[in-house]
Amino acid sequence: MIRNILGVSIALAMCGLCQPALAREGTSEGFPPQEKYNYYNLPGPDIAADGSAALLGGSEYLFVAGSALTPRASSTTITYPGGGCISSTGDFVLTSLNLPQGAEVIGIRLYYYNNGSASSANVALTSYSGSGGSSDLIFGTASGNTGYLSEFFGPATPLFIDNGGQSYAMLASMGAGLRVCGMRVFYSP
Amino acid sequence: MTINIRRPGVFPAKALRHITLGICTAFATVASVAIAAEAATPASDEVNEATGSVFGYLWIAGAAFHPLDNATTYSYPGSGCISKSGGPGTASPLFTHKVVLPDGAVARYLRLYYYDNSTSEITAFFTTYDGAGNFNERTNVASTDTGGFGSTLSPLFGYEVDQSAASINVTVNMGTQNDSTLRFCGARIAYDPPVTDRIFANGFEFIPL
Repeated sequence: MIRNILGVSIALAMCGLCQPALAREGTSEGFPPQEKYNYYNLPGPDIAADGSAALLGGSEYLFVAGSALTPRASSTTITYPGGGCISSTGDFVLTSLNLPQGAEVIGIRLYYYNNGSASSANVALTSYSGSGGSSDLIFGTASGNTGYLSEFFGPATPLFIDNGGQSYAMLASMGAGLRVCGMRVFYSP
Repeated sequence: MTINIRRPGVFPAKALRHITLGICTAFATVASVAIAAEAATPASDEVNEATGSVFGYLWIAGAAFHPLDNATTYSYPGSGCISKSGGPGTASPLFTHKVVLPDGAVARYLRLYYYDNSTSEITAFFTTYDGAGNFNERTNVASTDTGGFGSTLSPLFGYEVDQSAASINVTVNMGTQNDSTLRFCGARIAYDPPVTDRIFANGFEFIPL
């Protein structure tokens, strides 16, 4: 009897310790209190296209304008309609991605503009081994078709940055009538 | 520990990383003795042999570089590499990318990644600019004809980053070859991160885990 009482007491005490952690997870109570987290960019945590919340905890953004992207082949032509956006119907355009060692990439939000065409824009986060290997760690196709839009794409598997092992680049391509206006990486340092 | 049911594949992995880190820390002292005995001699840009500290890296894929001259033409043969394909005779063979390192970091090595099956070669330069028309090539490294993919390491150098004094580029001379037998695949800078913990700056040895 005493042993049972003791066991229940310990269990209750442990549940008490766990309670704050459960509350922070926000899995059943909506979003956690904002003041606990270190988001640097309003309106708050990024949300995946399927509606799921990004990871909780200290997270940061890296926002690169579309006009900072460069073609990976000179045959690709780029025009600049303004607003930090670019238009290009050739090969991919890209920029180097350099994040802190060990950071976890939660996803990329692609900002783009579509004048109503049926075309789409692609975004990728690709790693290169320097010796002929490459891997698309994130790849997404955004197909919204009216005005300025954004979509978020996450990796298929957890993605941690290894700066000594490979280089990383963010790439984008777009069909006629589309503009890529930027890419925002959401990551946990 | 609880599991985020919205991203079930992600949170456990993150938690697992912390758990693994804790376990690894506990065994680090014992394991390091065995590892030191068994590991092959590391490449010189893997560990700062003077301090024993691990380098930070900035690795930029070749495809992210851009030509200095709009007339220069280049192609993308794949795998993050680029090849110069021509342009008028006066077109520059130079491609460049900015280098952004933390203030106080000390750049130590420049490693060039390439595909070289040609008689020409690629040379990469770590260059600083003062904004007044002056530049300083702190180190350089060239490719060799390996018949395929390879990498070459520069000599050891030491440039302390001072963001208020100079900008930094890695600039690559793609030589005279105008086809994909010569490809630039990237540049990796090994650097000592800036010392942020001054307690261990003098008289104490700080060994990061």
